[in-house]
Amino acid sequence: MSEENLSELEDQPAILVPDRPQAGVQPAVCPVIGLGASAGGLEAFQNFLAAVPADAGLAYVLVQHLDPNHESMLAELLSRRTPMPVHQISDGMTIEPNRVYLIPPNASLSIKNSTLKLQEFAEPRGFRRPIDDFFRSLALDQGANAACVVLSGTGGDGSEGLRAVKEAGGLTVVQRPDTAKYDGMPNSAVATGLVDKVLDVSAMPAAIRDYFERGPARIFDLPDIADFLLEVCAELRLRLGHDFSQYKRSTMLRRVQRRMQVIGAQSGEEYLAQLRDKPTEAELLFRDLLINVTCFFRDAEAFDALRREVIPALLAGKGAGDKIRIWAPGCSSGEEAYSIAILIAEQLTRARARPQVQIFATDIDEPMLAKARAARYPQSGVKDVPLELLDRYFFAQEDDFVLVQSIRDIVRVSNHNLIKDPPFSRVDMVVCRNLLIYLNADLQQRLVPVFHYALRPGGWLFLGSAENIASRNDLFEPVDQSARIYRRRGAQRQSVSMPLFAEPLLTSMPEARPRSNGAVERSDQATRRMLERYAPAHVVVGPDNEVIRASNRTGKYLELAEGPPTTKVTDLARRGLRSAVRGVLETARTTSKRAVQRDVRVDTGSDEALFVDVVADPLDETETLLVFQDATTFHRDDPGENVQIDSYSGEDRISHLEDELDETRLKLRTTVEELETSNEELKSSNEEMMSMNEELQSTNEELATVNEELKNKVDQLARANSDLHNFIEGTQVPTIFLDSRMRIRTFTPATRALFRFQEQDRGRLLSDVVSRADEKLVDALVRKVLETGAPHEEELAIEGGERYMLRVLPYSDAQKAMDGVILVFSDVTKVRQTQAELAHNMALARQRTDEIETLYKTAPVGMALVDRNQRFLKINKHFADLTGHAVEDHIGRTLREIAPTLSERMERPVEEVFENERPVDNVEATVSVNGGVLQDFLIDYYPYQEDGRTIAVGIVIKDISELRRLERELRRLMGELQHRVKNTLATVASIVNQTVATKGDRVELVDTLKKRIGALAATHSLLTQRDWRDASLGDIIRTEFGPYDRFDRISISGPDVRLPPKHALTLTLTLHELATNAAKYGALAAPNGKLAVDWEVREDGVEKRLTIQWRETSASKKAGAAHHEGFGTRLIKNAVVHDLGGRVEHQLASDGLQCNISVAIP
Amino acid sequence: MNASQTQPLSGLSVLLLEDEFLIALDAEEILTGLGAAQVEIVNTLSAARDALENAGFDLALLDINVNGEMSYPVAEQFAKENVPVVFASGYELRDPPRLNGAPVPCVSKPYTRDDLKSVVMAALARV
Repeated sequence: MSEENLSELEDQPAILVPDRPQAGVQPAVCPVIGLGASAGGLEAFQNFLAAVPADAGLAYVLVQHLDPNHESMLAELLSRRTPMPVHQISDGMTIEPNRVYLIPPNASLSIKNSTLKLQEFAEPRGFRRPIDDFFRSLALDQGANAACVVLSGTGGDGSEGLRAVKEAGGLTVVQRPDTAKYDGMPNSAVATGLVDKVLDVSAMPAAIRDYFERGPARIFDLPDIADFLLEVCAELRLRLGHDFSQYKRSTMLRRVQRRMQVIGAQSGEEYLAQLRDKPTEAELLFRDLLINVTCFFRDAEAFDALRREVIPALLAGKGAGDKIRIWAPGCSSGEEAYSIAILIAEQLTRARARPQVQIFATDIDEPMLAKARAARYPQSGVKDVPLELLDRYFFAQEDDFVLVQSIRDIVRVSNHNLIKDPPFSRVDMVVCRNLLIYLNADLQQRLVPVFHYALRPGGWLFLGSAENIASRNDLFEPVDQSARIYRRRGAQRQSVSMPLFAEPLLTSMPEARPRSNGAVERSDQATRRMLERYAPAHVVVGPDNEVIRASNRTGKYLELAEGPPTTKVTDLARRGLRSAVRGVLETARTTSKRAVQRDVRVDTGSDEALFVDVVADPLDETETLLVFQDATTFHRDDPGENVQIDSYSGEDRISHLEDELDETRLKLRTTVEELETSNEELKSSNEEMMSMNEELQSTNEELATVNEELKNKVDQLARANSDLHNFIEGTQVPTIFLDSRMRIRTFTPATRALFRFQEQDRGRLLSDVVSRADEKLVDALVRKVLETGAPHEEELAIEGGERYMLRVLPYSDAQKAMDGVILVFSDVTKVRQTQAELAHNMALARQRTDEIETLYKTAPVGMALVDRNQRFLKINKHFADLTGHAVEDHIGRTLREIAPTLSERMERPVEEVFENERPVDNVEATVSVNGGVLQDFLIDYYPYQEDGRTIAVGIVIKDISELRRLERELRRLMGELQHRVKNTLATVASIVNQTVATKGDRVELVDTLKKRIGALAATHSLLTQRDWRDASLGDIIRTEFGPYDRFDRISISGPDVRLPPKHALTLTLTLHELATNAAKYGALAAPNGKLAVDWEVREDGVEKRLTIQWRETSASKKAGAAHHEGFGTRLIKNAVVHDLGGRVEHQLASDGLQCNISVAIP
Repeated sequence: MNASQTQPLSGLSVLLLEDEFLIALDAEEILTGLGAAQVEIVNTLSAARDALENAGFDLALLDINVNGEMSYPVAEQFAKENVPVVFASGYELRDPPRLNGAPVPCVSKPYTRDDLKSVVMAALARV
């Protein structure tokens, strides 16, 4: 049996509409689960998703309160917990199964036609309720195809949305508050009373999946569906005392079916068993059955009609003392009742008189009544309230709107069962909207007389848009059919039997006994007279003891006291009377009975004491009659009965008593309700406070976090500041900070070397401070940097010869904008000095290097530097010439490569120097370099050290070949000299021997020896003069003849002939003997004898031949005689021949000796 | 004193190589005084060689430096002919010159009769 066919079951034409038929007409391909969380939500989401079976076939939409200014990492964090894809929602995403959809930051999420929509938030931050927003759209779009889950969070977001989901037939699940990190949202949701399941997060996914897998229970197919429902209703009546048998069957079925789906009951029997066994199930079903949707000014046109047609009439002619009573049965959470109250309050603002208005808002749904008492509604509830009314009658509290006290004072909320409890009576209007539709036609028909009974004649009835009472035109006439406004017909009350259908199974509220009070005021002249004249003095006082009315003759007992005038009887009573008055008033009020104090002594100011009986007699709740009776006149036996009894007919009396009973009951009820209400209000205030406290706590936590961060930041800043301060104080670098107007921000102490800064100079212009630097230049630099924004530097000459480098840098603020400049001075005096010294030293060094290089180049010795591997590091030209390679060819190559023969001799000493780090000097080597002649070298090796380490060996090599040659030559010469000297000595020895052998006379011997050796010596002298090269023949001859001094007899002639030593010496000896003989025996011995010595040199192409002719003429006779073959003659004849290979012709002619000597000369 | 002691050259023929006439004259007298029957005086190396070819000698007194030429080659030739050789020299010879491995008796100029006599005797004694 399908749902459409259900209507056939209804036996009456329907004033009925399906509840929320528009919800979920186009469900998504899979059930959509909305999850809402705030604080602590991450953990809850994670636990939820971790428990979700990947193939549950559901779609999950996660709504979280996110910081609008930050990218959310939620998607990333959550995707680690589930194999399902996690999408951060973009506008227009379509729902697909087994996916997770995540709300992005700063967007309001809704769903329409199974498509997710993103919008900007309409509300300002702090007023946003994204979970409610989404749940509501979810309810509307998906209906029973939806589930909502409220998880950890503070505040109450989600609760209203949950209500919408519930109303649309969806599943509502809430995290167990005690398991939630923050239980504000779960508690708030649970408090709606609309939660299907309160579960641990980890149990939720399976429960939700099971719920949707089960699908709606198939109870529509039951053949005995009517019996089933009756049994359900019977159970409900048994358990809760509420009878739902008259509820509309389709609604009932749908809701039972939903409950079955929730708890997993497969069949009617199973559900009935659950209903019997589980005490909570009846309650839960009851709550489900009562789901009602209401809001302020629902059906605006109807309310408009009410405002136009009914309210003015209702108030017309009503004065301050009049009462207007309105009854709103089935008020649910009170929106209808408060709407009416607002309309009336609006109307009253224009009325002069203000009647007392009471609206009795009744229902049986206690949680809803609690809401009604709280008078606090979410935005969704007040969306149809005109803005000016919203302003006037609501105030915002957190995200909700709360009605002002004046409206709340009008509405009395109480628990009252329309069906089983006696109705209110004599009410001016009954407002009962959208209640009847849930009831079956029979019950509807029977309720109409109840309304009729309750209303005063001409009273109004205001029904819901889907309801009408057309069938009972006899009782009501329509005022505005479209607005469903009716008016009671007739003056006669119809009797109604209460309860209407069933005996109450639970004791109804005990009826309060009516209090007997209320004297009827009578305008009886006699009475008045009596009062004026004979009654004792009395006053009527209010609750605060203020005198409201006074009789005559009270002066005896009352007087004005000192101080500001007062009407309080306790102040006005004469001395002695005050405590008595206070006492009896108190007693009378607390007991509500007459109280008497007798013989009170009153001080009247005279000697006569007055004794008075004081009587306090409560007139009603507020007013009390206070009677003063002189003791003498007071009838002590007065029984104290003060109730006047009128005589009435019995019927009137019953009617009157009934009225009074009703009124009293109402008053009592109202009082109790008020008490309850205020209690509830206190509770709800407390809850609000608690939740506020929670939020404050969470805010506090956030603030603590922020505070901690800030503290950390501050610490860092303080540290940075301290660092900076220490840096500024400690730095030796003169630094000045200027702002953009060149005023001093700060400066380092080192700046005082240049500027005469005082501490108070901060904020002054830099140009105002006396400086040693060129102020104009500094000023110009600063301006330049301020204009261009580019750093600049310049060297400054300071008085006194110092030099400073000034760098001017732009000062950037946090936004990188230039906000002044920084001047940094560096003392470069020493740098410049050092630079100069350095330059000088470098020049010196260069000069020395040049010298060394020059020496290297020009020294007549070879110089080189080799490393440990015998590679040339440096070599001079001289050395290079020695090896026969270019200078540059040596560098990097080894000795062995360059000069193998030299290296044989040099490698070892080089190694030795490296080893011992001591020089090796004067090493001689005779080497043939590169196949040339043998050369003699003298080589020095010395270590070349850097940092005390021998890194190279210097070589100095000298070619001493020439020296050695000279040495050899000298030796040869010495040998030659020895040979010559010895030969000479041998010659002399021979001369001595020969001379000794021939001369007998000792004197002659010595003389002859002296002359012979003297001739030799003379020629030696000539030869020595010519370096023993040669001697001139002429010189030899002239020297020989020198001692004879007879140049007139001697002629000497011949060319200049140079004779080699041997020729010279042999010819000297020969010529000396010739001359000696001539002087002794020859021409020179004769008186006229003459001697001619001529010589000539002839060359014949073969040789050069010298011929000497010795001619003596006119010689003495002795010549011949003496001329024996002596040593002299032997010498003359043989010496030249033997020694020189020459020829000697020696002949003693008659005239004298003639001797020709011929000898070859070189 | 026997004859061989006073006149070790008695009856012998001696070649004298000396380029200085006066020294040769003196040497000739000493040699004659030592008993030499014949003293042939030559003043060049080639003359000495010629003399060796033409006549036999019992002893050769050779000046080492003859007009700047060394007489060692000539001495070798004399030694080859088993003619005892005596060198006369102005040099101070540290090591005496050798012929066929044996040191050659030397006399340093100027020499006396006895100087010459002792070296001549030494030279003759070797034969």
